[in-house]
Amino acid sequence: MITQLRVGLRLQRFELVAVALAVAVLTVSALVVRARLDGIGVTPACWASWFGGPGNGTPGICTPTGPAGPAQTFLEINESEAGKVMAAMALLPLAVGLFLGVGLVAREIEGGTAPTIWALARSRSRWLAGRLLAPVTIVALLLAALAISSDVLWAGREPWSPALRFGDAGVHGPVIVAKGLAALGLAMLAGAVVGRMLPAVIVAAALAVVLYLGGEVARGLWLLGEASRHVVVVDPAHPVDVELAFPGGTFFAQKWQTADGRLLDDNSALALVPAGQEPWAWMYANLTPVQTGVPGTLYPEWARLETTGFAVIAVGAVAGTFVVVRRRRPL
Amino acid sequence: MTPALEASGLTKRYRRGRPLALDDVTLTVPPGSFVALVGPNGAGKSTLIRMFMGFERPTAGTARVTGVDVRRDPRAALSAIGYVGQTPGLYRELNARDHLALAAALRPSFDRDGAERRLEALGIGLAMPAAQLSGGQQVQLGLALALGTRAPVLLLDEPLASLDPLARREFLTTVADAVTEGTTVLLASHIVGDLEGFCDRVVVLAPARVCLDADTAWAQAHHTLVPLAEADGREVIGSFADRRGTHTALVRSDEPVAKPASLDEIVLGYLASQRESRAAA
Repeated sequence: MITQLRVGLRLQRFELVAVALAVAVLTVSALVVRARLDGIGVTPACWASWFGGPGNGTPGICTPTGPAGPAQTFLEINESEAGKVMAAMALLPLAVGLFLGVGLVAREIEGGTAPTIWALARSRSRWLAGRLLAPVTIVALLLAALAISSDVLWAGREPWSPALRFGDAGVHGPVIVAKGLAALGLAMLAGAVVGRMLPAVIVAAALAVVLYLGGEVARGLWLLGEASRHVVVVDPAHPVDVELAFPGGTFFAQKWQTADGRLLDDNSALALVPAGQEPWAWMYANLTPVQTGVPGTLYPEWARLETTGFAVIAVGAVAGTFVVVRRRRPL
Repeated sequence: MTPALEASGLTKRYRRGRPLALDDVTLTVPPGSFVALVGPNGAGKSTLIRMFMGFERPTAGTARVTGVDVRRDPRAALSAIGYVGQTPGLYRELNARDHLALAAALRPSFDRDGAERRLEALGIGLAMPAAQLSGGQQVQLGLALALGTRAPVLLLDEPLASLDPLARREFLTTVADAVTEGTTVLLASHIVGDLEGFCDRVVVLAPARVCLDADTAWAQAHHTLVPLAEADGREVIGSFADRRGTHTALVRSDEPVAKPASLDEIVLGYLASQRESRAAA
């Protein structure tokens, strides 16, 4: 196994070095941006003033020195630098998986080494397991570094928000490792099925896009499902800002709740108003106005689901690759 | 004695509507023999070898290696085979020593020391990356990998095609040494002349079918060339133009002939016969 590990490292040394460099740059960038944000030293009192107190939103309101003020500087760095780093966090795991995964089997077939090596191997599965060991271990370690650094940056991006929140969901923490391994598995599977590098890269890139969009769509659907189960009753006398109704989470819509618990939108509620009644007065008198949304406290639950989902895709794709390699022609 | 290789009714069609790549091929190779599998490009030589290796599924028929049905137990069948392909199939980045180490990791019974000695005897540097080896040296490295498995059967799929005459001679000498030690060899090639004196049996595949399967010595002793005009009344296999443009016929005789045809000429005659049959059809 050690020999196979060593050979695997040598065969992919260019890709591994390139990937390690990219990960190192992004990891350091995340930590540097976090340090820059922390270094501004915006106080909790300042954020309270900025978002809720007198002079809300006015630059310089909590500035001890200088005209722009630390809060303004913080927000600018947060938007430009931290935003770019987080965008890269969304893409790099997919690129890493794609880059390292696609050639694992496809290059052996296209380069003509598969017949020789599969004839030598006692079993193709053992060969593939040995061949996978180096890239999967290294990808997991590199992505773990990204996961940690992305979490560090994420934790410092919104000091005014609760610790549990949906902001930057899917681009920080363990999901990065799972997403990268899923991309690697799918790229490897595409390479094993197609057997040629360039077409496999195209197929794998398309699969990576599907993987990314699939994650976004799945989150949207999950949030939508959860929103119907989390309602906050609106007191017309004391309306609450939607941001505060679902701290760290997502507001979906204002609805009307019937006595039996059904949630209605405005049109459905208006349809219930008896003829001759003033609609809104009747609705306020007979229905309960509620806001639907998902609180930030549910974020860990979603993060676990998302990570598990990508991990299942990774395992499925790797298992699929084993099946393909066992059955396919080496040419 | 269990045959080293056995094909019965082996048939392969890659796609519906396409001609058969192999058509009902039946073949038995006894242990310890050196069989030349010759035929033109596209005759099905590589397909036959890949079926013995389990790399292709037959449309019909059975392939056995040392008595093991390749489809039923591909791992056992493959463990009895050493293989060299049309291209040596080496990692350009790795040197010979790395290749041998990898082979030993993949197949624990691999004779790494023996393979190293074989390469050193041929003057092939173990530390040199495969990409820097000559074509002949690359094929010798491929052969060392195959022989190092100590498998009883060696399948060689046109490894001679890209080699110069000296490299071909060195390659065949190494293979012949292995045969002396009891290895069975099936070597596919369309370069027939070099095989004379090495192989003890010749199988001619002319598109998809076996048209000659004979002991080399017997085949040479019972085939001769005559001018086509003088071939009447004799069993003509096929005719072709010789170097001077004279039409010559390969004829088969039940009795030993005075002037045996060369292996090259025998194969040429059988290939010509197949071409004539196709043209007539």
